[in-house]
Amino acid sequence: MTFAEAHTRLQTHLRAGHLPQAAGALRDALQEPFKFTELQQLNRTNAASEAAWRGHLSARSLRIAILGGFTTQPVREVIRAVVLAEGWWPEIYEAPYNTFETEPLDESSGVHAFAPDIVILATGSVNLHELPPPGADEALVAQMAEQVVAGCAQRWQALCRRDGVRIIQHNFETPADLPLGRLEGRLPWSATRFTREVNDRLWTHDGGAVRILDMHQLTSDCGRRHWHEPRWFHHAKHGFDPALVHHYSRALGGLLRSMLGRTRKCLVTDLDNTLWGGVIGDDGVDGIAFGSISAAGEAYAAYAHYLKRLSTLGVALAVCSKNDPAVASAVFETHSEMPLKKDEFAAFVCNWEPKSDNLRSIAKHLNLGLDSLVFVDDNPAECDEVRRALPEVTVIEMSGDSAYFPRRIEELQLFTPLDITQEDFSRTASYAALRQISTLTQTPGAGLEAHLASLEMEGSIHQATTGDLPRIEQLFRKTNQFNLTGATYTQDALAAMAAAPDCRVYAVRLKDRFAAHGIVSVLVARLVQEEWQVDNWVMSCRVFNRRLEDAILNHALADALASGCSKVAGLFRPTAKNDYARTFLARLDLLPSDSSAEVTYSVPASRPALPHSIHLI
Amino acid sequence: MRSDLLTRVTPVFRNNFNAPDLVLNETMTAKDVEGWDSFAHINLIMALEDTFNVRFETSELGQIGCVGDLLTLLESKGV
Repeated sequence: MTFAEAHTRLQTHLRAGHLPQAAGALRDALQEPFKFTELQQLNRTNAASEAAWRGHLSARSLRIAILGGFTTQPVREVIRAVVLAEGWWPEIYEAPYNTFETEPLDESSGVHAFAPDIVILATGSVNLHELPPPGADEALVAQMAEQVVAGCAQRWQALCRRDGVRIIQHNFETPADLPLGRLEGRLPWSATRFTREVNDRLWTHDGGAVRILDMHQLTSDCGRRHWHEPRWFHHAKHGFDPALVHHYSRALGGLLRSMLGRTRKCLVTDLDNTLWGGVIGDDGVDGIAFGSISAAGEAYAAYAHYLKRLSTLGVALAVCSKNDPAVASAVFETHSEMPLKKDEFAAFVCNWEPKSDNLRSIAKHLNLGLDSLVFVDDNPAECDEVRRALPEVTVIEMSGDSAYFPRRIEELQLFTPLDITQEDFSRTASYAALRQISTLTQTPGAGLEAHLASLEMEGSIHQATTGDLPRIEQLFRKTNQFNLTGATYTQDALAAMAAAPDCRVYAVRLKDRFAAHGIVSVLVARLVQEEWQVDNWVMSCRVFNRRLEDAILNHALADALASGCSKVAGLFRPTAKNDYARTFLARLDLLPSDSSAEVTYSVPASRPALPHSIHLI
Repeated sequence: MRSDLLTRVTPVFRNNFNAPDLVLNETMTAKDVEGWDSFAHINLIMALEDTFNVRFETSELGQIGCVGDLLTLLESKGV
């Protein structure tokens, strides 16, 4: 699908009032290359349906301030589109041209009055006012780089004085003009080496509320000569050629997705003509194009290797193919060059049912929302069926030359998390364990208790330490299903609570004979008038159906009683996705089972029994 | 033909300024078209470069005072 086709679909869906499908079409459009004027048209289409969008998003909006060191209209147009595509109506403040240094420090400036959720500091090497003088030694270069970063840090601090503000800071691309030629790489005082020094220092600040948008990488992806278009810079102070705006959109979109907890979690791939060339049912294991048999085969194998690397970084892989399962399995079991093994897939679905039905059951089986899935298929008809039936699913139509498949996945920046934690590396093993448990829970009397006992689970519940905070922040941001109130916390806020005597930040770890899952649940509680008020409690879907939640609540209550309190209480705020948590609270008779409104609960009445299958240490 | 060229650039203008009913004439300047600022000007130039497969030089961009100037410039590039 081209950008123009997706735009036409967007218009059709908006006219028909089909907002979920419109959101899907908007995401499809942003996958494709587009010109700057096309992006403006897309935004005009959406602006004309603002009321419908706001209704669809239940008035959920995101306030974004843009502070630039160059012309920021392209940044604004990108934000309008990518924020809406992920499910927030964008409210934008665009500071006057080149005021990124003064606005943050001036309490009475527009950015402070606007009260943003996110501030983008859109700067470029054109804003590096001072380059090291020729012949400067490394110490001076380092000192000057420190100064640039100190200036950035001062702005972040000023902007973050209001709670909950998050920052996107551009790092610096190699400047347009490099008079030293080859020596740029060798001499520490060159512009090339200087920007590298600054960027290395900026990266050490990437974490918590401040996130770096890697303009250096983006510029080299696009080519420095293309990125810097001197005509547009001299005429309109463009920081980059607006013709490349779709590359910027992908980079910024990827970072925003991860900041908003919208990083996709599972890639569901088709097989025939997607993971290999040809049709396995016709061609057989030796007849398909895969591996060294041909150049095309090499390309498909490269795609398989790419998926494998994604999987080791924590992306769940699944198969959804119209095939005989035994025939398709043979490739994974017997093809000597196939790097993926069947048990590396969190789900392996081969049948002749509509793919949308299969995707629905894959999502359910993995305890994931449909909007966490990315569906990859070469067949336009299958893609279309999924787009229509399940507009929440991100669809990648993998048509054309197989040599470009990995790049196509990479360019869309759907899977890059905000941080990589230890827990991400073990996720594939967790999904394998989940597959077994989920089979058992679906079969009554299949011996769930016995199975849980056989997992040899070992849990620990401790007050969070500093090293735990990145994972804890991530868990609150990413967890939808076992999430009682939706509250999220910055790492600073978590650190303050973990240190406060009247707060508890319980970090729960779990391991079993398959994997050490790391921190899988966090419960934050505050002491309010002799009772522990649960501020929020989340648990990863990787450890559902193990009675771990019972153990945690049991522990929290025991802790509360030991410290002289009478009970643990809290609020449950239902969402479209947290039914698992509601079911849990209802099982303990803490909630009416049909409650769809916000409701408070209180624990002493029915403290859950400590499950036998989890050994707490 | 000059009037022909005016017809050919009209859709580019209409699209760029989001003004489907815009009627151009040679004496029109940036002041006469809503939203024709320096930023929109660059957009317009990029769209014209794309549409007519030409390239404007920085100094030429400074010479454009009215629609007629633009047509003259396009003609000088063989459009």
